[in-house]
Amino acid sequence: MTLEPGLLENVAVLIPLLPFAAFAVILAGSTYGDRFDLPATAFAIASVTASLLLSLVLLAELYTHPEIPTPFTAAEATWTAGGAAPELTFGLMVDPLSAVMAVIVTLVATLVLVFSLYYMNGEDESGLPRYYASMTLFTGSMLAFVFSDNLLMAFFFFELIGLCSYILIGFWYQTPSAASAAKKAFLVTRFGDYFFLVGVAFAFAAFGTLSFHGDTSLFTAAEAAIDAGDTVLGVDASTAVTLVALLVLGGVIGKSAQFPLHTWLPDAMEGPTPVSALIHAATMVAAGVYLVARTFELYALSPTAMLVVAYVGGFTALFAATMALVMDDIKQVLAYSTISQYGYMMLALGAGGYTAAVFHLANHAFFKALLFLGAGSVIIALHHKQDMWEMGGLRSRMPVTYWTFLAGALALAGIAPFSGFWSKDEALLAALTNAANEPLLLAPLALGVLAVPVTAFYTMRMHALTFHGEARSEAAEEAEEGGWPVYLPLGVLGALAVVSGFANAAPLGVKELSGFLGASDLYGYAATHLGYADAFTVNYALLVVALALAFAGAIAGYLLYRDADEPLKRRFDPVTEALERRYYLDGAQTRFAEDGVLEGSRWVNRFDVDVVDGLVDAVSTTALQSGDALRRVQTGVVRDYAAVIAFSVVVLALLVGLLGGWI
Amino acid sequence: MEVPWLTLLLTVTFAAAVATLAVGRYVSDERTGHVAFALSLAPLLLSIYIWLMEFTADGNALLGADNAALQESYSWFTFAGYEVQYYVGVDGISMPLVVLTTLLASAAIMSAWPSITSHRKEFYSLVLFLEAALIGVFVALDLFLFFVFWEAVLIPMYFLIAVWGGSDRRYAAMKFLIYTNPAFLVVFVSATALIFSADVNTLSIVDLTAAVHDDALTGYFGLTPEQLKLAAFAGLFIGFAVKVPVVPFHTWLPDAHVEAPSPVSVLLAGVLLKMGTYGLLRFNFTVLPEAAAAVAGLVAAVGVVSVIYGALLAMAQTDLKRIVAYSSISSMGYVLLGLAAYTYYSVGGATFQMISHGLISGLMFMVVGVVYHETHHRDVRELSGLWRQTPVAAFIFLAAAFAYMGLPGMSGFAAEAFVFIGSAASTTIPYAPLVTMTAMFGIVLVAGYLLFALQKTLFGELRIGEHQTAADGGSLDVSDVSLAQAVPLFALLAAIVLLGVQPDVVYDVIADGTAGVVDLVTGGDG
Amino acid sequence: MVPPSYYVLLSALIFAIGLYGVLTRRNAVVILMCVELMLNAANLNIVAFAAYLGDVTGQILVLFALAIAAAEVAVGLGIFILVYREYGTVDVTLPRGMRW
Repeated sequence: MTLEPGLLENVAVLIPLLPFAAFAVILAGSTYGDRFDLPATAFAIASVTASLLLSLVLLAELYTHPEIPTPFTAAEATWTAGGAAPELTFGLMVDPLSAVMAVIVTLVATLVLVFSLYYMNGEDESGLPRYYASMTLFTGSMLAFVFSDNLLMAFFFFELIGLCSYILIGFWYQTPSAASAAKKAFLVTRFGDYFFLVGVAFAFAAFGTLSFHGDTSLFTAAEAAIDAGDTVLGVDASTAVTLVALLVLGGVIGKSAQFPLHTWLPDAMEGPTPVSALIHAATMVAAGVYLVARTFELYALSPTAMLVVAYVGGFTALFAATMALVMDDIKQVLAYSTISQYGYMMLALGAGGYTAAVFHLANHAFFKALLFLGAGSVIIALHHKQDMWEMGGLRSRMPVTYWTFLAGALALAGIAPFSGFWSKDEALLAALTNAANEPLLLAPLALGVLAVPVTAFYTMRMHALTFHGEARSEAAEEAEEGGWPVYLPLGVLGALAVVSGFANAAPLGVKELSGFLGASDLYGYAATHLGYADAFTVNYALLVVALALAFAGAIAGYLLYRDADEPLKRRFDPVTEALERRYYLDGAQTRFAEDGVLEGSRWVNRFDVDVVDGLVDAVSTTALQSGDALRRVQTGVVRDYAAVIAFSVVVLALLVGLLGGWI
Repeated sequence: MEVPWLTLLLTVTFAAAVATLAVGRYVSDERTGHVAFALSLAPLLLSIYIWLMEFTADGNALLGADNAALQESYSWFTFAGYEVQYYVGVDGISMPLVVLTTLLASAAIMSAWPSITSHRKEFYSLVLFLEAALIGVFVALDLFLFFVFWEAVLIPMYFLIAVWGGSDRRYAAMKFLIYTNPAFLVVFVSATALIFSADVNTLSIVDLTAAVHDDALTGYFGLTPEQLKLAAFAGLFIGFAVKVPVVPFHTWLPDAHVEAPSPVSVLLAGVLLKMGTYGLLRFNFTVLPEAAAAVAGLVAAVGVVSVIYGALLAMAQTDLKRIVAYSSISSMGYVLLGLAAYTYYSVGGATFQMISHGLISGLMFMVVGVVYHETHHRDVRELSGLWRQTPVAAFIFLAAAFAYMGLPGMSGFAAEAFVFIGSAASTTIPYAPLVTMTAMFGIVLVAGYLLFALQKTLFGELRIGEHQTAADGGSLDVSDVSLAQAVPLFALLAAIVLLGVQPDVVYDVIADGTAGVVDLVTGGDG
Repeated sequence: MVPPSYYVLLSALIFAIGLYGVLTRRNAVVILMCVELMLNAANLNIVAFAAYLGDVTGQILVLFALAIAAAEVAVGLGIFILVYREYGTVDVTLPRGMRW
């Protein structure tokens, strides 16, 4: 298929525009309240499905026509002309990366919205227009973020995504814990975004451009500044680049829930499960990682920034995986698993494994959305029970969910040939290869490898507890699976969990994704600036070790928990205690916010009222009191006044006489 | 025929004030508000018409006799060798502020319908009188005229707080008056000192600016011209800082806001605070750029302290009005930072922030007024779960709060982004990136306390004071916003979103008005 | 011709007597009389200097002052009557309404 020239641009523009349009319609229609439930659902699904189709067209077009020059700008609008200053524009930048990401986002969004028919409409939730409005706003913002052609626009939609996340986590706003989780999610990501925005301001101040492509892109400007040895922001250019990269990383850490700003994501599970699947697993959390991939050329200019990315990723991968070991709530397990998996992507990016990161992002989006939707299917079947100890024995009662969930679980666990195996291996391969050039990458690599069996273990523990053994509650005994709104998304995603890994199964010689993304250019770039390898060759030793570790973990997890018994917790009491309390970090952060900042603000307030305003009141009090004292001179007796006058005249006369020299 | 548009605007607004008082005698009490609103539409529509059809300013009004649009000048009287003129004109800085004033005044009048129940015609008349004086402040180009309007603002404001305010209204009104009067005195003395030492024979601010910039200053009162500029800068800064308000001159603001009726708070936060920043921009940063550049670091530091300190104070409050009042102090700190930074985006952004904050704080006080009117509570601890019963008001509250937090797509983000982008590149502020970064932490703090307030009031189970209902049943005796109340709310929200998505609607003229100010210091490469 | 210093001394004496009376007496009528003394001391001074300088303006001024003093006495006495009605006496230390 070949499109007319110019048509491709229109396709790209429509992709984010359609969900925004649906949002506007639903928002306006929501004044009709619950009567608008059905139209809202229809508008949402129709718009996102249309976007999906257009994204597929775009991807197919780019894939079949490598001669189309990318990146190209599909549309550009001036945000502000800036007067005498450089203008700030918003543009849609189309390249293979954004095309792939757009398909991921729209595909998962479509399937999740279909699933919502079961999870939300089927359960007669109230406030559906609000739900669908937020979902479409989210999809539109996410797509606009994906197509952003500069850092400011990226921030713009990055924050809007955060707003949607806030509204959707707090969907059941009457539940205090949901309202609290929504607040926490926005606040923690805002804290990260703060650094991001500082980075944007610094980048613009330092390099005068924020653009992602073209002759005057941020990357070329930064590179030129480093080569010229310029001094910007009062430091030399390479330090400034590191600074900007690390500041932007702040936003990434917040959004992608990396250590130490990961604490909001498990709480965010208070939101409806489709929301968790779309926003808090597949797409929004991916925005952070996507941003690093998008600005890879900036990070590659700074060895320090790359190492920080790798260390954050490697550490988070293991750190979050260990906490997933002890969670009882199925969504909590998935939440920590999500954090851990994004750690792998960060590790890959920091190690120069551009393809690996994007590949794992895609695979993870599919299998994690699948796992969440599977969990959602179970949760509804059990009437909103999420504790895995109340599940069990669902294998026969929910076969579709069981088999698709198993596919997702195996993908997550990194068992060949499921998708996660291929991409996780590539991430580790990147770290291993470049550890030869940069020995400091050995530590994150080790953390990443250690996380492999842990991941497999908690995954199979979750799977065994949920589906195997005896039904452990009445609800589990009577569980029933939903209809096609459940089967369709689970089926599609289940199939993807099996096959999507073959898009870039390097050990089999398949490097389609890598070629499509044009990753070799970036590898060359990283080789020039960082001394990283300019190509990755398959390392079969690593492959075997990782697979063996995954199998070991998976089998151990299955065997230990198949009988619905908790064999480990009692034996390692202090450790599990620490894990269950989430390494005490959540508590510490809450205490910092409440006892630190909030209490501190009360001190400031006391200071303001007592000292600053006290001083103001003191001025007025002094004036009033001195007036009070002085007015007692006025006795009201005429003679006294006359006496004062007479006395004063005498004194004045004497003074004049003395000073004038007459006396 | 040349139409004296600005004089017409001032006259129409004054006439509306008088007419409200006159007509108020003949219509029923409830109708007074409707009459006042209808009358207030005249200046609103007129000002919008002027902006769209007649406004053709080119550059900053003070930096060239022909720059301002719609200039009118008539000799008024001569005093001690100085010619005092009725001299008005608008440029890219004042035109948006004039429209902001007329817009917020109409919105405030409409939002006052349910809550103001005594002495209606006097109330509305004073609001319109206040509006006229505010327009005068922004269009005056003669120093004497400027001072006359400046003082004229205080009188209606005093009565609006002292008569229609809350329980402690007299204290608050008196505090407001006493605080702002000495501040004006300092401004007056400083400006007069400049006039006396400059080689001018009119009180035109344009002439004064030219004289100061041409170094046509003689020493005065034993000070060299340089010392005089610094001293005048200090005096003007302190005077205007009280009005802004800047920490540590801020303590009148929370009291005034808490005691003032909500419609008055709308104008107080929306427009009156901008008089201070407008004065700073016009006098400190345009007339005295050298002095300003010399002490830019200090000014920026004061701005940063205002941002952080104001935000921390807001965090400690539980009264909704107090929260918004303190966060106004915080938001105005960004203006200070932007002005001191002297780059195109920072000064333009600071001016844009005046407009943006005017709209957002106006909306915020209106919605708080709605909540208070319906529930008779303003303390966040007394309110919970309002979303369930008053979804429209809750939606507006949520939107206003996110606008305040600088959510992209709303004007607050554009303003803050401009200021941050600009001030990070500042050459006047020492360690500009670090200073900017510190100030920016305000965006985390503001999210902290506003999200907390939202969580307490809108979410959770429905509860108002002592009255509580079960989680999923029953309702309390509160009603959602009426249509009449919703119109100004949605109008302001629409304006906020419009400016967030397309800031050039206003920023275009602001950039034109502020570029010259920046060039004074950077010589054209800001 | 009597030297002006004599007149000045005399008027100073009369003024001092008047002032003493104003400050020490309580009876309003007496005080009024003392005020008249002080006033006439000043008049005497003016007349004396006018004669000394040979300028008739001072004498005319004193005539005016006398006329006004007469009117003043009338007003003062009127006030005393009112005070007497209110307090039953013309003691000036009793009316204390004119204070904080």
